[in-house]
Amino acid sequence: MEDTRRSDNVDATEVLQRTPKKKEKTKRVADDGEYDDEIFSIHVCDKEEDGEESGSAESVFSGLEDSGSDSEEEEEEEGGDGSDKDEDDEVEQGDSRDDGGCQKKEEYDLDSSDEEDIRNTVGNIPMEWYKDFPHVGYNLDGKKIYKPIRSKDELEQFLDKMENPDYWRTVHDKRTGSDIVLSDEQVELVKRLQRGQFGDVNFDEFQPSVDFFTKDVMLHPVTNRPADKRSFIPSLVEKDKVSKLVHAIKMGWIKPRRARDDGGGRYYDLWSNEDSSLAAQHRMHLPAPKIPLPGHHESYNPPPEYLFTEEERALWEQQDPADRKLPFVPVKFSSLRRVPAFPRFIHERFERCLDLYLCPRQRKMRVDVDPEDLIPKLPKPKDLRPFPTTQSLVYRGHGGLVRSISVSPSGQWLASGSDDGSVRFWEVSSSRCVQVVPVGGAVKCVRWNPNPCVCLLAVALDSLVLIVSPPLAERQVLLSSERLLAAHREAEPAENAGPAGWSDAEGEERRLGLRLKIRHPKAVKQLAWHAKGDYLASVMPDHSSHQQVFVHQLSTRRSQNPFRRNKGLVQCVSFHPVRPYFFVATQRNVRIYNLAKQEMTKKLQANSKWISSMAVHPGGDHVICGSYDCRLGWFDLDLSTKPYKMLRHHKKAVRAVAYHRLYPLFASASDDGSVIVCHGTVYNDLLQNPLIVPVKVLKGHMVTHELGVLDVTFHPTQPWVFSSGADSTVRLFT
Amino acid sequence: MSQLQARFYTENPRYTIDDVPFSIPASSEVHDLSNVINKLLEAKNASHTKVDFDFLVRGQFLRMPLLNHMETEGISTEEVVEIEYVERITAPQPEECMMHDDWISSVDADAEWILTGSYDKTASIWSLEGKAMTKVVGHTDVVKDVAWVKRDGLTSLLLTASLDQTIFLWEWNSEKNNVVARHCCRGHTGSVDTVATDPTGSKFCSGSWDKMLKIWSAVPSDEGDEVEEPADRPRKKQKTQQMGLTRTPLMTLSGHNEAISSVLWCDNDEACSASWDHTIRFWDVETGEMKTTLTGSKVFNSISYSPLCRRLASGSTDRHIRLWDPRTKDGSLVLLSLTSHTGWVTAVKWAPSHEHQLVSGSLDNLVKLWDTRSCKAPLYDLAAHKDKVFCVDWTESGLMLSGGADNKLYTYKYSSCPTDAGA
Amino acid sequence: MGGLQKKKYESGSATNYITRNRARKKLQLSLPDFRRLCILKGIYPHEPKHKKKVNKGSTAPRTFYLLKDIRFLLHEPIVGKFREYKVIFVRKLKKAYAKTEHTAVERLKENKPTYKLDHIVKERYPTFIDALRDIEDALCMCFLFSTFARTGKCHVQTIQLCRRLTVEWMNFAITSRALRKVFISIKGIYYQVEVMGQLITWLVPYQFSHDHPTDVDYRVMATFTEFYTTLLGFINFRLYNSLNLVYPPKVKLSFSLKTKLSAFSASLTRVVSAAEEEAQMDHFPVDEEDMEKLEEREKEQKQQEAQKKMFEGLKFFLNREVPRESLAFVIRCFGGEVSWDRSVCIGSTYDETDETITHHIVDRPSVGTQYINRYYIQPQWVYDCVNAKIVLPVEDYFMGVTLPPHLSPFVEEKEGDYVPPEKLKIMALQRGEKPGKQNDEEEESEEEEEGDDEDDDEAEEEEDKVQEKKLKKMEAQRSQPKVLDNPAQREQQEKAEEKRLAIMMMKKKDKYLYDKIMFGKKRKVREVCPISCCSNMDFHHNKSVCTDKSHICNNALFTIPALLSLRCVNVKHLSKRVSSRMYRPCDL
Repeated sequence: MEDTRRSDNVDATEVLQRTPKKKEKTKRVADDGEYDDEIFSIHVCDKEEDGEESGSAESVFSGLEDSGSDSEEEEEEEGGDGSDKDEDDEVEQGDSRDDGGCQKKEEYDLDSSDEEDIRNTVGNIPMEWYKDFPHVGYNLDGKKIYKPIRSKDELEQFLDKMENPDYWRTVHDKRTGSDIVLSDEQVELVKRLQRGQFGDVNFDEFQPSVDFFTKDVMLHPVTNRPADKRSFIPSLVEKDKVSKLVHAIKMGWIKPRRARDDGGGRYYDLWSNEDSSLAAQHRMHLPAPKIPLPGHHESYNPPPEYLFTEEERALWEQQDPADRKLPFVPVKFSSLRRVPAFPRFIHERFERCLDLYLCPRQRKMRVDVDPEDLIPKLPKPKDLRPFPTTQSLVYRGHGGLVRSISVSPSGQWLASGSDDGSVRFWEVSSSRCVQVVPVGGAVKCVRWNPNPCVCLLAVALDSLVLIVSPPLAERQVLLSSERLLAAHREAEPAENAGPAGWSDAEGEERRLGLRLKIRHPKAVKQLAWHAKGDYLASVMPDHSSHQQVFVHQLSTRRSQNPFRRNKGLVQCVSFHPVRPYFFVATQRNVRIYNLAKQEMTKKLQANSKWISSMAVHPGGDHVICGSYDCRLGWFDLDLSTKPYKMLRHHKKAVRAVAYHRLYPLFASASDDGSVIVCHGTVYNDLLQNPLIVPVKVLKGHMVTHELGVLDVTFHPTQPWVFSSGADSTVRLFT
Repeated sequence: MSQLQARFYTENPRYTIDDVPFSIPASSEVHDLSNVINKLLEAKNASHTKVDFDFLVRGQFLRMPLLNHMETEGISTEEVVEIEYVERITAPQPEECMMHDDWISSVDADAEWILTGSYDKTASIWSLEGKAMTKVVGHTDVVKDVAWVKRDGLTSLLLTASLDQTIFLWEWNSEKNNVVARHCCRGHTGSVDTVATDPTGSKFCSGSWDKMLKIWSAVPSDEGDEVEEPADRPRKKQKTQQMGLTRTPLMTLSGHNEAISSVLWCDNDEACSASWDHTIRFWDVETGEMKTTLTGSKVFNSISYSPLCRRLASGSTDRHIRLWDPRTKDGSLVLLSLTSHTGWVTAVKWAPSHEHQLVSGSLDNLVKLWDTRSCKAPLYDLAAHKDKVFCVDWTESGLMLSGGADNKLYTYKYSSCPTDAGA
Repeated sequence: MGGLQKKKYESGSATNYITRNRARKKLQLSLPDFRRLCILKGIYPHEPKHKKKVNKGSTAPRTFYLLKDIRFLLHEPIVGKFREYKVIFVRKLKKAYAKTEHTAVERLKENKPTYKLDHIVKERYPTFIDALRDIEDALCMCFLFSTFARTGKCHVQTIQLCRRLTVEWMNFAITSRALRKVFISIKGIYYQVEVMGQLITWLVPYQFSHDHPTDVDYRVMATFTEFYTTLLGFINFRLYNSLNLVYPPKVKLSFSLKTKLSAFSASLTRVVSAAEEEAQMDHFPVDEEDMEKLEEREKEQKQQEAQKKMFEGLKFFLNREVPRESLAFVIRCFGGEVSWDRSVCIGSTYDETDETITHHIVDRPSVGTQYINRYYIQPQWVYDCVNAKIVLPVEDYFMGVTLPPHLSPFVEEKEGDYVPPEKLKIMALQRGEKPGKQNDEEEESEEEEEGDDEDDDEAEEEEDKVQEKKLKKMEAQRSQPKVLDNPAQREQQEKAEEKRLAIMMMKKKDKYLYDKIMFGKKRKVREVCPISCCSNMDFHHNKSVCTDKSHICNNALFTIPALLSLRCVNVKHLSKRVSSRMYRPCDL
């Protein structure tokens, strides 16, 4: 703006100067006659300038203040020579005055003569018109003005020319036919004119020329024309325009031009008084996560192993950008100057911006957890000793998979029934097979009679239940068992012996030790002795019939079917060790019947698909159920009918479970070929829940055609566990 | 290569060298040291023939570089190390292999004869050279244990305990080579697993599965003493057909809660029994009361007592052999546990003539020869058997025997150096 | 159900969230204005837990904002400004244009409504530290904008302002010697400074003219920049005050990056004093702490001081082809003197012929006239020195030699991660394992060569040692079941056994989590170091998603995973590398 203002200012001054210039020209071409007049006029004009300054000064208010102000400025530098020019003007006037006293008179004369001349009223006409007349014109009152008498003839004129010294300076005035003698100045003037010089004597044509066409404005208008009135009378138009502006400014309609801040002053100490009150209202705010710092891959010169191989590269290219691990391909540049610009730089920045304002941030709950903490703190298995840890003995000899094993109450003998149609008796301590009893058919289940005073083994093969009395005990025991078997003879035999048919074994079989045969309508799967050893329960799983469970009494060879109705496919049964309770496990749940009251007391829901086996704690208050869906459920009968704990230790179906008689141990055998021994402490006060700690995984059995360990049982006195597997072996872990 | 100051000494006068400390390389092994000793001995007498030596540092056999050994034993390498050196025990040499018809359950050997019990319900007598002398037939079930009682001249008494709950006292005439059952000792109501005759040979004790420990008189007499039993028909029948005179126990010591697996005599009137109830009990035979009980954590299969070092060695089902000091009143009962077997230790036997050595048999088919001075590892593993080892024995004549489930009875010639024997 | 009087979606989470459109209606803003407002105020959508519930049963994909946030926006004066701008200014301007009243246009343009963001800054960052924490994006953005040319993409004033602010920032970094790490990546150059204990990292693109992508909305970026410039300005002010420097510093700005350099050279005078007082200020707080922490912190500090003075006394001369600005910045940050050919740009204090120049940084295979008493090194040396915190031996970086890899200083290897051998080597150097490293400068280069190579070897060897140890351990573990004589191993095995059993007893949920963690572990190990598969990994670094409230550590992250993850180093590379190293002559 400044320079634009300056520019129009310039032409303003030009305008200012041009006007006096014109006047100047006209004045220059003024009539040649009146120089003094000229000078005088100049002089006067100077006088006037002085008077005028004040006028121009107060004409600031007259709207063209800027031009005025500018001219003032110009006046500053012009001031010097402007003033001394005036001075030497004065000087000239000075000396023109002292020689011009007479000069003044003559002027008056001339004036008078002018007056006379003016009396002749003919005006400016060719005088020859009055050549023939005596008069040359008329005066104001119309009287003829007569020509002076021309008395002189040529001679006189000649004489006159000769003797009159002033002849050369006498000119004939045509208007009045009189002769006029020119004064010296006039002669001088004429001479100068003839010489082609300037008329005025004291006019030097070499005076320093003042260039009027300067950009800078002069103090004095060059014109001698008096400044017109409006130039020093403030103009009303402008005045009320100004007053409007002033009013507008006062009213704040016109705002002063804003000073453009260069940012420097914009900033101040914003956090001079930090208060977290603002933070409070922004509690939901999450700070944006930072961009992760670059790794070695991003280096312009990464270690070679970080570079992509071809296949990685191919993978990277055909991968979707979303699930690429790196958004770029690592490149290696030999030197820094070769590194190009990163093409996606702006993209990434932009994406970051989008992330910042478009992505819902949310706290991901992350664990900063040592997984060890997740592992429950259990008592050390060491402290829970004794429990079986290693395989000690392998009882080999069976030809088929060993479905069932049982240990004699004394703990000296082990009986095992196998698919090869034989029952074998082993000496526990030496893994010696002391007896083989061939029974025609695959043995499903063998159970020692728990009563230590008798030595009887119940064997289940397909629809038969055999009672075998091996000669493996002292004579007393054998005798007592014989006595037990023979007891019914004394008791008169009941004819309606129930659903099962009893028969003695004869001859060869008897010599082998078989004593009794109990024929069942269907294939028997499982057997369970009562603790007293008189009652034997047999299970015949069958959906259709209600004849699934028989209970046989040895002493009075009687069998009965305790359940009238079919409660689903019975898997296994068991007697309560001390109280007259009877556990029946169907596919989904376990029913507990009170034999004395002939009623169902409890019904346990095993949260499993298909119960495979069941064992009752020697205390009788706890039951574990193994199921084909790899689970082992521990029921606390006092606690609830739901399992107190479900253990999913096995990978495959659980085949058998067993409690230890004395030690707080239980074991589960599974098709994954492993036996898992757990420590289950049962506390006497009901408030304390049993503590279950798995202590050992025993592996040993080979998994042969999808079957691993089929049966497991504990040694009655030692913390040893026996397991029989599909690999036709029985193993002892101690 | 750091050096160690060592002084060598020995009790064997044949190999003594003058007692000056030597500076030996710290990383020197046994054979280096024995070379050193040999050099020294040759320097002493040119007639010396090279002998292999074993070295003991503070009563521990050197089995690794000397420095490591001292580090592990925590011996400072600053001062002079006292190193004892003894003649290297040579490996036992398998001598005879006596085939049986069935598993061998037990063996007992004395100076001339070997007695073995087998699962084929018989016991058999062998000469030390492995010649089968005779079979002792009479048991109706597996013979679990056998024992010589005493020998005068050609006739000798022997015991066989069987799973048929009886113990037979036989008399065997070596030149006529006939066996007569003198007595049938009844009273146990479980399989008799172990018998042991006292040093005098006048008594013997037996342990059985029925948890009872019974003391019997080992002196044959001609009238069987009266057995009070409910007289019923089958019983009588058996009686008639039974051989030998019935004998009843002098004394029954009850206290074990589980089957007794091994019994022995510490001295004339002190019996010791090991049981499956994790205890070893000492009984005063005179008064018939229990003196002390050592309680272990595992089932004991076999125990053996060495009068030389007065220690009791027990083999148990947790694969360890433990050495007990029955006399100790304080401190730890278990002095040492030798761990190298990977199966049940079914039999242990102290060397009758050496205070440091014992032999053990295990279900892992191995027989191991131990020296208590190197408890880390056995001296030798005797891997002759192909199946479980049930019994080991060791005669004064330095003969080791072991029998097992592969029906073989092996005898090993073992020459223990006389010097140690003297010790 | 509560019956009729209780309507659905009128309580609970449905009322806490508001969709974007409804929010716009509530605020009466156009979408762009709403966006700007969100950007300026830092409002971002929220992901409701039960989207369906919040979404009034519909499952249409909507973005939700917290109603609280929107209410909070309601009272924002900026909103008024937006309206004013839109309605009054724009409309008037249009009219004026239509009427071609140029003076009116002039006037309107002159006083077009502007707004200040100061209060927003203050409210978004109540304390200075908050602001400092969140400054990284601002810096990146400003540095990016400061490299923009005068294109139509954004206002020239913005670019200028960005330039000024960035220069001031760098100036501050120099003055307070705050630079810690530099990393030349393929994207640009990362700088990390430590200001008031905050580590601040930013990325500066290389000095190339951007080809502006078409699919980028520059208005968004401009809005961000608008806010960031304000923020950065205030922060600069505060920082300068903290150093008792006058703000704004007298740096003449124009459209040439040279002036940055001149600015640096100008500021060099102030460096020393400022650095001093900062140093001694550091000493006071140390005294209150317990002993070992104290001394280790003192050590740390000493090291840092050493690093700060790393280049002091060295005179650098930058050849014309090296990135002048970055190098000058870095070198001056560590007290070095730097200059360049005065014909390249202004601000060069001495020229090439100066005899006292110690290092001449060139990035070309050879230079014409070489001076004897200076190293001709490649620029990477400077950066590597900074990252290594020591003045590295120069010979790997001589002119024309193939440079050693340039490693990222930002990765710190956890236990079990793969550590590139170069890093090992550098760590060895830091531990001062190479005696006579100080007088390396005086030694001849070939000695340097071999010395360095042997050192290299040793790095390699120790790597190998580590590996074989690991292998041994592995096979030991494999052979554990067989050999049980070693009690330690048995112990170990029992431990493992116990653990396995205990794991079996875990709750279902824990089990799930545990398995996930373990899987992650395994994968990481598999990825990171396939050759040295270390078995002892500590799980503390390892995090995985879990619903358990008990273990929560606060770290937010975008639900859009836009974030990098560590890539794996695989075997063949290493084999390749090893073989290549074996062929190197120096390795025999």
